[in-house]
Amino acid sequence: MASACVRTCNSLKSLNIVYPLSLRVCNSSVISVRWRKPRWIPKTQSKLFYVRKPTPRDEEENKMLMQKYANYRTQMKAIRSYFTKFVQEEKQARKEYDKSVGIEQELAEVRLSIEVNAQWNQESANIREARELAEAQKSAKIKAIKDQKQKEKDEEQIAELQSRIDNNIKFSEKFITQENMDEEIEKVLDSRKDFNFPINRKGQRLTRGKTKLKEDISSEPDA
Amino acid sequence: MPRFKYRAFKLIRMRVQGCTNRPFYEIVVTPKDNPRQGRPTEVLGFYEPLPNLNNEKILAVNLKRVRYWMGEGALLSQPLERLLGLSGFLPVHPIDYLDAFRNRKKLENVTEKGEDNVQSAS
Repeated sequence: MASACVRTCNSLKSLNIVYPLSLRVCNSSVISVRWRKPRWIPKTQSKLFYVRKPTPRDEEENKMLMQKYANYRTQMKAIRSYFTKFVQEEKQARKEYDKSVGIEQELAEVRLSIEVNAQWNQESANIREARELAEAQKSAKIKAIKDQKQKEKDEEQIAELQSRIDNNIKFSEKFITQENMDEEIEKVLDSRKDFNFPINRKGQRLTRGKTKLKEDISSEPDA
Repeated sequence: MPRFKYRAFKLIRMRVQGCTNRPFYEIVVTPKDNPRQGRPTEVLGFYEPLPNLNNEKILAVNLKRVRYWMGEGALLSQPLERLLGLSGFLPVHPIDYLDAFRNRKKLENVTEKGEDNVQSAS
């Protein structure tokens, strides 16, 4: 920053701008409120001897305002002092009250309120317990009914499964085993089937075994 | 380091609320250095500068608390001094007297001109 200042100074000097000493002193010391330009730059030529015109004041208004302001200030001062006094008195009164009776009385009130609170709590607890008991009984009833229903359902299912198993056991008597395998093979070889018949698009049979031999008709189960 | 903790005095002033083209002010107590919209020590009331359906500008203040804070040494901002002066809690502010004076003068001028016109017409 300092170097920059020096440079600008030098540049001014190099321009051969020389101002009278009095003006320079004036710039640095007397006129202090200058923000945009650095301090060492002098006033512009046009503003060198500029003096601001004072704001025009109405004589009558000014006189009235002076008087009113004086009155207002005194009144406000009085009001303020009254308020301060009032507040201090209030505080003092509060302090004294606390000292003499306030704390004991408040403690007594607190104790009483605690008692009353406990009583209310007991009352509400009684109500709550009764309600909870009723709710528990109700829910138990509902659960019992549900369990019964479930049990019945399970039993039904087991019975159905049992019947299916029984059926399968009954059907298993017709199964081909190692023992009767030869017999069964013989039976199949002996039997004769003829698939030479027309069907429709749904796969249904159209004619009833016209091509079948007379001896085979009797052996056909679903003819 | 400063020897004493610096404490700004309390000021009763207005805090802007509301939205665009709809000003609404809260009347608050704050330390003087606080920013305008900063957290106040206490809210004392509100002021609606826009007239409502009944053509009223509403000012609601807790005067008890204003009294308390003034007793504690709080100062008032000028707009608030004027408002409280007009509402009758404090003496009327000189600026209001000035306004009234100017208005009266304007009215007198208008009436004089009007009379002149009437006279000239007749």
